[in-house]
Order: sequence, then structure tokens, then C-alpha cells
Amino acid sequence: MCNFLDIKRVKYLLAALFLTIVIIPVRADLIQDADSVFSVGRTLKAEDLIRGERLFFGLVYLENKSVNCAACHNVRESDTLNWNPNALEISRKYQSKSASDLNTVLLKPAGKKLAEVHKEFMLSPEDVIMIKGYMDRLVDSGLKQNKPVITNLILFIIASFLFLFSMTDLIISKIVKRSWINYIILLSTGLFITYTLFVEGIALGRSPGYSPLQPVKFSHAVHAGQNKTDCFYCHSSAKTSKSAGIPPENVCMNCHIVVRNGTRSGVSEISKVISAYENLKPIEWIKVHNLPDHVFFSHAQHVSAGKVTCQECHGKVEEMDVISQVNDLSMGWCIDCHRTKEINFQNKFYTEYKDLENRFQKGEIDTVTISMVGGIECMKCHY
Amino acid sequence: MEKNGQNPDKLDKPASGYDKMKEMDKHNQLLDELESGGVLRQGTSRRDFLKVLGFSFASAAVLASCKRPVQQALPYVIQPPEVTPGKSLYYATSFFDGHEYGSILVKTRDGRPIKIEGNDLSLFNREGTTARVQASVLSLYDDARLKHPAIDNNQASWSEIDEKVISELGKINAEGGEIVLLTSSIISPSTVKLIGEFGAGFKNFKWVKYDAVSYSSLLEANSLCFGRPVIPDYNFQKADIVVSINADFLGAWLSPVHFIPAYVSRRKLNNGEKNMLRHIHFESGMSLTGANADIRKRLKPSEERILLLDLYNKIAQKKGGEVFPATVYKEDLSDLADKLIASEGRSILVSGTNNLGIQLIVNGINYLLGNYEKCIDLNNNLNIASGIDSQTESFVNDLNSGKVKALLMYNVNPAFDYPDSQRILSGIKNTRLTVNMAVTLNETVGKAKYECPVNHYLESWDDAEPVQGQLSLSQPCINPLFNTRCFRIHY
Repeated sequence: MCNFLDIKRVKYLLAALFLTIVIIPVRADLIQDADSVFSVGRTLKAEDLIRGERLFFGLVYLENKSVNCAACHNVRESDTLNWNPNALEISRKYQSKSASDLNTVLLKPAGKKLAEVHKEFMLSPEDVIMIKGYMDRLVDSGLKQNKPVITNLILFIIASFLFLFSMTDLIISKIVKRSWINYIILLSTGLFITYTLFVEGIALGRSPGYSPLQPVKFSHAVHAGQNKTDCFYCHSSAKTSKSAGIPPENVCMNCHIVVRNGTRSGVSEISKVISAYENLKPIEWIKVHNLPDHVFFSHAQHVSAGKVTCQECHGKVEEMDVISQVNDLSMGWCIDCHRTKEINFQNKFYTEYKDLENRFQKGEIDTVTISMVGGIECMKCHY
Repeated sequence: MEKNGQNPDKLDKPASGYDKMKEMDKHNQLLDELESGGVLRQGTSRRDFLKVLGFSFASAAVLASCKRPVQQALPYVIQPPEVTPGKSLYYATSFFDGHEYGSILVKTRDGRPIKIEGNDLSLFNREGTTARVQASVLSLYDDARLKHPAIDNNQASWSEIDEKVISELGKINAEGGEIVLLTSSIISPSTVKLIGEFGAGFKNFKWVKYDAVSYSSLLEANSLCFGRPVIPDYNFQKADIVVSINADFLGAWLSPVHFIPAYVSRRKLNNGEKNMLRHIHFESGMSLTGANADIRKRLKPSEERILLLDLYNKIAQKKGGEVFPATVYKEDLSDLADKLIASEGRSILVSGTNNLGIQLIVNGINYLLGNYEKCIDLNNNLNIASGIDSQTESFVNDLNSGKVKALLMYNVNPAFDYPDSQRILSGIKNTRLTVNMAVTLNETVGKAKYECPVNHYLESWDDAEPVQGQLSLSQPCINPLFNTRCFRIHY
């Protein structure tokens, strides 16, 4: 019929038509120039997401250099302080923004600190889209959790099992012929179990060494240590109230209305404070020093009357980037100090104790400790 | 005892003695075997073993993996300068719920009232409070409080309600229909004035004061005797003898928190005083006041009038007043009468019964004894209650006859505490417009078309005049918790 259009040629033509119809829209963005590439919204394929993740982790070489986001922005939950915002924070921040915004902050960063660190990233717009895709996924999946360490628990369980088996063996089944083996096992596991129970039991509710990472990376080393801000400038109610108080945001804004850049954190942390203040939302600090409910403790009594310095109980706060609880705040620790600390009779608060003062001056008693003026009365703290 | 599932009693009894012995030997052998430590085939030991195992496992798991919950500390965003976290702020305000008055100090923490005590600078009640006042701090946080306005029990907005009520009131007023404002006693001079101005805008406006606990007979008796429908102030500190007949003035009658300091000052001989206030009490029930009396006698309610009339007669005989024909009380009251006359002018006789006749006799006795100059003060009267029963009664009649076209209720619960609450409920159906303004859910809530909740007294600005001439103010101690409005704004 038609010599030109035989079956083979028709097939080729149809295939060409099909390809042009299908492929051109899909790869249409490639045809356009780089700037408008972000304005085309397209869903990412699975391989793009994988590439985005690999880019994030620095596994892709771009002109002999890799950009490794995860090196500075934690992908895994951590208990040590990292001055950079973690991957989840940056992902959340850029979730509502477009890929072109991400492109700007990566390739043309504005802030001083950002400009220092986001240097010479060889990323094409394509790559940025893929990284953004990975980050959007990260918002849903969150940071990777570390598995809890339970060696003590497993040891305890093994010891209990051994104890029980040994006990039943000794009394009932008598599988092991020599009873002294059982006795040794019983003794050793029994000691371990008792020790663990006692030590863990007493340690229940106490948390020495507790140093949680706070929502805003506030460093006492910078503020109290370098800048030498007085403790009572922020924690003013320590002198008059039972709680020392966490400063309200208007105190932070006294300086940070002007100071917007941190040396190590850039604008990321301070901007959290500013935005919280502007949106009238309190910052949700994690309380580090917690006493159980049955204990009453008054800062005013210790600070104003007792003239105890902050560092005596809270450790060298001015050297801490992240506040950690140095003392276990147990009753024994409190009582130790009350039994040994001497009172200074120049302090107006102790003028009532004339009898003790006289006897101390005369030399009849060589020290007057807090316990002698009622510091270890049960009802003072447990009422 | 069963061993190996065999009951020894059921063992085949051997025929001969030798066989019996052999059986016993076998029996004993089994026993020996078991006692030497063979495994007991009883299920309980395995169960115990598992129980102990499970418990130790669980406790170990709990000990090792229980994490202490994270505690957070949220500071203020902008801290008010007067607030110190951990320290309480005290606000002076006044309590009046339509029934009792108190000048109080409210202790607040972090902007929330937590405790109420009497204001010791107050002339009215010093540091005293009553149970109602103490409990009122909890009624602020009551979950049963009305949280938002409603029309026909559906949540509505204030602007909607305002529009509808105002237009409806306008229509009713144009027709000259009766508009009734039913409230409990109001002691706030500003509110009284405001209600007057409100009512002046209508052709046919009536303000009915309804007290759940009514002192109406006191008011009416004083109105008949002295021309002033007031409750007098009783100055116990000026009296030498108090005779109380069913009046629990230290417990719940009128204003105990006001009477107690005066009473106590004359009972405690702290400053070298030589004579005490003598307290004689007749009552039908048991009360704290009766327990404090020097002489307390039991009284049947039916005998109260007889007692009073007899006492009146005895006093009148001595004093030369008119003697009425009456039955004599079962006891001889001449002694009491003599005591009263001996301290005439410095005595108080009170009765807590809400009966006009009885109150008239009480007034008569007090008048004969000349108590009205000093001990019973009609000029600086107590403004605790002003509801007259007869007015309430006629209002309810009007309600049922359909005369009342609009009913605005404030701080009343007639569906519960009016004696014939069915008449109230049926009467409400005859009205065209009903508005209820209340704080907490009660029996009357839901019966009116428009439900406009008001602020709790701890959220309101207010004033009060508990005793004529003594003014007091009320300030809020917390921002309004719910979508409620001050009563006065409704005007």
C-alpha cells in the first residue's frame, strides 16, 4: 500500500511519538535554565531521595569535593553539645520554605557565621532539590534514636536466674553433685543482686550528672563566665523566694534586642529567643535540679540568710556550656553540709542565738554549726 | 493424705496380718523415698517458682529501665514586676454572694487565688471568714461553671445575644409589658444605682429581690414598728445579756463573722474586766451558738411564740406596758425577765424564726427594754438581705398569670430553693423573654432562653456597703477564666 510507511517504520514512528509525549514533560525542567528550575514543582522519585540522603551524608563527590551536611548537623540524637542546629531543626525550619531558599542559604549565605562555614559548596540546583526532599522526609522520621544501654539490666537478670536455679538445685533437684558450687553461685549472685538493689534503689529519684540539652543552647560559660553577668541579674528571685527562678524573656531581651549573633552558634540560637519573645511563647527549659515533692527547699534562706554561694551547690556554673547537676542533692549531702558548716555571727540573721554566740566567744564550744541552730530539724524541710 | 494418687484408706486391706505388715512396709518405703528429697509431683511448687521468677524479672526490669520523667520550667515571657515566682501576692477584696458578706485577703500564687482569709484591718469582720467564704476560692475553679453564653442551650456569641435581647426588650417595652429583674439581695450601691437607671428606661419595670434564706419577717417587723424595712446591726460588745431564741448568730444567722469578734470581746476577760456577757439560749435544734451559751434550754418550735409572749407579758408587767392575754409558758420566766430588766438598755433579744408575729414580739420586748438606742442599731443597719417574701409571692403569681413578659434573673436559683418551684418553672413558660445570669451550673440554668454567664466575684470589680455607712471595694484577683461578662456590663 504505502512503501514509505511499512510496518517497521510505523513502529519506529509510534515509538518516537510515544517517547516525546511521555519523556519531554518529565524532563522538561532540564530544558529550562537553572534559575527557574526551582519554580517547577515536581515530585521526587525514589532514586532522587536516595541521592539526596547520600548528598546529605557527604557520600557523593561533586568535582572532587563533597558537601557533608551530617558532619555538622546531627542526624542522630546526641547528649553532647553541638553548637550547630541539628538536622531536624534545620529541616523543620525549611519545611515551609522553598528549595530556592535552601539554595540561597547553602550557596549564598547571609550571616557572618554561616558565610564562614557554608563555603564553596558545589551543588547544582538539582542536588539542592534532592537534599530538600531528604530533609522533608527527615521532619517526619525525626532524628535517629540511640538504643538504650542495658548491660546492667541483663547482668541483673542473669544473676537472678542463676540465683534461682542454684537455689532450686540446692533444695530440690540436686543436679549439680557438689553442693559447694551451688553455695558459691548463691553467695556471689546474692551479693551482686543485693548490691544492685540497694545501690539502684537509693539512686532512684536522684540524678547526679544529669545534663540535658536545652531547647535553646544557652551557655553559662559565655554569659556568666566570659561576660561575667551576675547570677542574680537573671535569677533574681533567689534572694527573696524559695525558687531561684528562670529569667523571663524580657530579661534576655535586655541585651539580645541588640546582640543577634553568637560567636559559635551564629543567629540560629538567638533567633529562637527573639521569635519566642515576639510570638509571646515561653521557652520550654528543661529543669535540671529537681527535688522530690516531699522536700521543701528555700533559696532565699540559703542565699540571703545563709550567704551560700551558688557554686557551693551547683558547681562551677560559669564553666559549663550545658548545665549539669554536679551533686546528687540527696538528704545525706544536705545534712553533711548542715553538720559541718559554721555560722558567721556577723550575719544579722543569727543575732537571735545570743547564748550560742556567747559560749562560742568564750571558747566553751569550738564551732557552731547549722545543725546546732535547728538546721536538721525534720519539720524544717518535711512538713 | 494422698501420696502418688493413692488413698491409704482405699488400699486393699490384706487378709492376713503378715500381708498387712508387708503393705505397711511398702507404705513406709514410699514415705522414706519422698522425705529423702524426691521430686514432689505437686503443681504448687512450680507455680511458686514461676511467680518468684516473674516478680524478680519485673522488678529488675523496672529498676533498670525506668527513666525519670523530664521536668520542664516555663518562665514568663514578660514578667509583671510585682510577681516573684514562689512568693504569694495578697489582694484585698470583698466577698458577697447574696447571703454573706466578708472583707477578705486573697492569697494568690502566679496570678491564681489559692487561699482566702479575713482582712484584719476590716471593721466588719477582722480576720474572720465563714465556711462559704473559704469554699469560694474553689468555686472559682469549679468545672461546673458556665463557660460560654448560650441560646436555647446552644453555644452562642455575646454579640448575637445582645442583639436579640435588646430588640426583644424593646418590643416588650413598646407594648408596655412587665419586665422583672429577679435578683438576690444586692448590697453594692453602684449596682443599685445602675439597676435604677436600667429600670428607668422601661415603662413597666420591677425589681424583685428574692433571698433563698429569707429574713423577710425581720424586715417587715422593723418596717411596721419603726417605718424602716431594715435589719439592724446588733452590737454585742455593748450588751450585758443576750437572749437568743432559735437565732444561731454565731453560726449562720445574719452575719456571724461580724458578730463573733464583738461577742468574744465581751466573753474573754482579758483586760481585767469583771463581768461577762451573759448568754441565754433557747433552741429547737443543736447549734454552735447554743453550745456557747451559759444557759441553753430546749424548745419546741410550737412553743416559741408562747415563750416570747409570756416573757413580754412579764416584762410589761414590771415596766408598766400593755399585758396581752396569753398562755403561760411551761417554765417560770420571771427570773429571766428580772435579769433582762436589770440590764435594760444593755441587752439583746433575738429570734431567728422567719415569722412576722414572732419578730413583732421580739421588737416589742427590745423596745420595752430600751435596747434600740445602743445595742440594736437601726441607723447603721446591716445590709445583708432585702428580700420580702410577700413580694416574691406576688411576683410568682404574676408570673403564672402571664403578666410578666420579660424575666431577667441574676444570682438566683428559684427552680431549686423556692418552696413551690414548679410554679416558677410553669410561670417561666408564660414569659416571652427570659435571661439567666449565673456563675455555676444549677437547677435554673437551662430553663431560660438566654444564658449569660457572669464573672465569679474573684474576677470582678465591685463595691459593697455591708453596714450603712461602711463602704468596701472588690477587685479581681484573676483574669476571667471563661467567656463570661461582668453583671454590670449587661446593662
